Amino acid sequence: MFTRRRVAAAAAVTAAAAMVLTACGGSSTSSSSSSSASTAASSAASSSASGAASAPASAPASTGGTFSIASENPQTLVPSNCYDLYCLNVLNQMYTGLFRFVVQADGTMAPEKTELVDSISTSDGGTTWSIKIKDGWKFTNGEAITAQTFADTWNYAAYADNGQQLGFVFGPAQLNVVGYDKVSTKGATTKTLEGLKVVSPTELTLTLVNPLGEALFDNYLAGPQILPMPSVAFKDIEAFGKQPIGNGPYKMDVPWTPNQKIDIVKNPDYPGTPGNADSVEFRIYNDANAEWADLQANNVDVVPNMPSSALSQAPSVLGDRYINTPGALSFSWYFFPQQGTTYKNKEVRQAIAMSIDNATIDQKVYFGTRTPADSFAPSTIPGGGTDVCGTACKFDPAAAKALLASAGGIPGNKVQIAALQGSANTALKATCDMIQANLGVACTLKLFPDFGAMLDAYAKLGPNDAGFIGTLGWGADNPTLANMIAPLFGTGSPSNYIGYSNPEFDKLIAEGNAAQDSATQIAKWQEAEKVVYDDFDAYAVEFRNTVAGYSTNVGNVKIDPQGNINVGQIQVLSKS
Amino acid sequence: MGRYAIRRVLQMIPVFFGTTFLLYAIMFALPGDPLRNLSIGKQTNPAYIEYIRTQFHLDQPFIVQYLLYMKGIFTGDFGHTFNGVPVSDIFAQKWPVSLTLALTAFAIEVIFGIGFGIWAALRKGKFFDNLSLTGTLVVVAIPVFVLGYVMQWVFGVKLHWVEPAGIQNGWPKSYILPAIVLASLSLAYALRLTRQSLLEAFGSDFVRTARAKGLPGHTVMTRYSLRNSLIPVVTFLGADLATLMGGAVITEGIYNIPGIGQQLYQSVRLHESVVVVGIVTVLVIIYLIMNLVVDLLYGVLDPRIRYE
Repeated sequence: MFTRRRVAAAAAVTAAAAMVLTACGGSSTSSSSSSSASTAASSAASSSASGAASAPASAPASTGGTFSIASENPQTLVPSNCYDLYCLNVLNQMYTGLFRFVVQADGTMAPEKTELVDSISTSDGGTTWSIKIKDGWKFTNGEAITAQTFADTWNYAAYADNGQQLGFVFGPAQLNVVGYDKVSTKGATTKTLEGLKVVSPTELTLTLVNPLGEALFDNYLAGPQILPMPSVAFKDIEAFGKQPIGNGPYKMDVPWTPNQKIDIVKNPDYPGTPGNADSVEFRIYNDANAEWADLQANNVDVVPNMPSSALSQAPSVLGDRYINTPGALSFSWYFFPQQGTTYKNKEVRQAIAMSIDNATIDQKVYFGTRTPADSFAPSTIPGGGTDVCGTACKFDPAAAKALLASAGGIPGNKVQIAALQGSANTALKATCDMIQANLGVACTLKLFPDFGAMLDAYAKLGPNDAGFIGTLGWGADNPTLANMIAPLFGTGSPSNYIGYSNPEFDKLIAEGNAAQDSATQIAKWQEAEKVVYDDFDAYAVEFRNTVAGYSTNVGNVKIDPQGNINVGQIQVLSKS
Repeated sequence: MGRYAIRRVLQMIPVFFGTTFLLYAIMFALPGDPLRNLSIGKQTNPAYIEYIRTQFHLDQPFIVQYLLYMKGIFTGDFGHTFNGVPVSDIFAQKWPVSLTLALTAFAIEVIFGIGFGIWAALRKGKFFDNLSLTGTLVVVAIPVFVLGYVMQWVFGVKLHWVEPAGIQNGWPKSYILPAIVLASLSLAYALRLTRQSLLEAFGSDFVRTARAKGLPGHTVMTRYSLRNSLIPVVTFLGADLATLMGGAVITEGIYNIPGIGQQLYQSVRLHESVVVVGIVTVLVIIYLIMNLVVDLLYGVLDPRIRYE
């Protein structure tokens, strides 16, 4: 998912990630019944507090008005360079692309075609795709949106020397369009993707190296890199980024002020479903505690995260206006080095996992804003939420001790867990204490200045080094099981930090990606997930929950597992 | 005095080079690869990382990076953040905010620090004197972030006299609370310093002489006691104004004020050398200028001081 902070997903593991990560996890879905709240606000709120699960609500008539959303400073507002949740939430309102994510009736997230799409189809089992868009759509500067618009945008994103973060989506990591290798190297002379052809003003075709199943293809077309950019953007991208021109329900009338605010107003010419509010202010904060103070004073309306210091009191202070929904597309995971002898034995690794009581940590340290994991995908992802790990992820101190004894104990009788300097590391300390108490093995934290340093040290471990248990986080770009596991464990993937390689896993992922039938696809991915758990070189520790709060001025606030706020559907209850 | 001032200004040139070089070296020596950290925990675009590395010369040795940076400065290009925002834009947005906050805090510090200091000295041993001594002791003892959060909670969240955070209401409404928090510690010092040196002056021979001459009380106070006892206070205040500008990291964080302190904190975390070096160099120059101003003020306060 789009992580909140630069290092965000990773930092998640440490308690110190106090810095506001994304949605954190917890277990309770029910809204706490606070009797204090009264008035229309609470009734409107309670209907929405039960989570983003419900299908697109019967949107009430436009309410007008204005409200504010707390945000961090987005890295950029250029769509193809937008790789954080803050720009994403703004761009979602300013652009209509080909797909948007919706939460379906069963609680899982899936891409849904936008009003701009006429049809999307494949004629040869997922290799060649025809994308037809509707005629007559315009940017707010009057420029018509045609197939060429999309082609120009995608070519821009993929071309290496344009330095766009999301260019990789067109490469082997996701879509793998024919000719990506020719545009993605430094100083490439080819500037257009060979597999991207404009057929007519309303139709373009994409030719891929490997076939993709439709469900996966649709997911890949839902990210911000797909959003159309007008031709002025390519003339001066820096100026464009200060005041992007889009085609969505909202537009930007004045340039945004970095580190201060982003104002968007209703686009009166928008042909799709308009938003409720007349204008929305994204107010930029650098410190989640300030967001929390402003929220308590009703000075900001939607706060899509909570400082760790507020987690204990937020439910009672906010009552029905506190959102804590399990299933954000983000997890923390541990991994064991294979180089030395300490963790060589799989039973040792499983015994360590079994000796940690994550449910207690999630309750006591994170105040129920995280949920223990027994797979790599939460239930909000199609095919997620099943118990893949089995007994190894169930807290059972007696069985853990027995398993360790049968495995002959841990060489050296001590373990180390990686942690970050300058963090409180509360959760990791608790984890260490549990290992020590339940296995009788000495456990200490091994501190690193940052995650990069940890991974470097990990890569340098030799056969005589004791090594350490690594701790990282992961956030998915899209709600597919493949995106939760393939980047981390696929052979040669740039995000395969631990050098994991299992041909069986690679084969199952590839088969799943290509499967046209989505049930088959998910089954293949689940088998691949099982392969990782069978090897047990790494396992998911906990999922984060979607945690947020809102003021008494607004109602119908929902945040999906990826962190997208339903800005257009939010009702303004009071306030000018 | 003119030549003295010019010489002092000229001395800033080597300091400028030394500072930028040292800072750049320190930033370079920070452990960890900033770009590596950008891409942990989510999918990575190797082409993008490569692009940034080339763009910011991070693949070059230290001395090349530094020289390229200096070359940029002399051609009016202060560099870009990793997000592509020109450092000059950041300066234009943030220095005015920090300056507003610092000057507001400084005004509070000067007016109340010196004012209450004089009052306490005049009422030595009386109620106000004891109150101010106890009060300043408490302020000095409390960490600034505790004071910041408590004031925010009481006046922002509970009483709602001001907004708890942000600068959307402009000056003075959005700035007054953080300025008080920012000023509090220095105010306590300025108060005690003023009181102490005034009391010393009261007991000195020249004041006794002035009184014995039959000069009116207020003349003795302003021309003799106060003027002489202000030298240490001015020294303190001068250095403090520079501190207020760069040292507001915590206060700016608590009250969500998009100033230079916050930017510095973020940029250090992200290893954005060009931003850190730019900001700190400006801060160093502000320190030097304030020092010069203080030195020149000595002459105004005490004509016996000569510059050469």
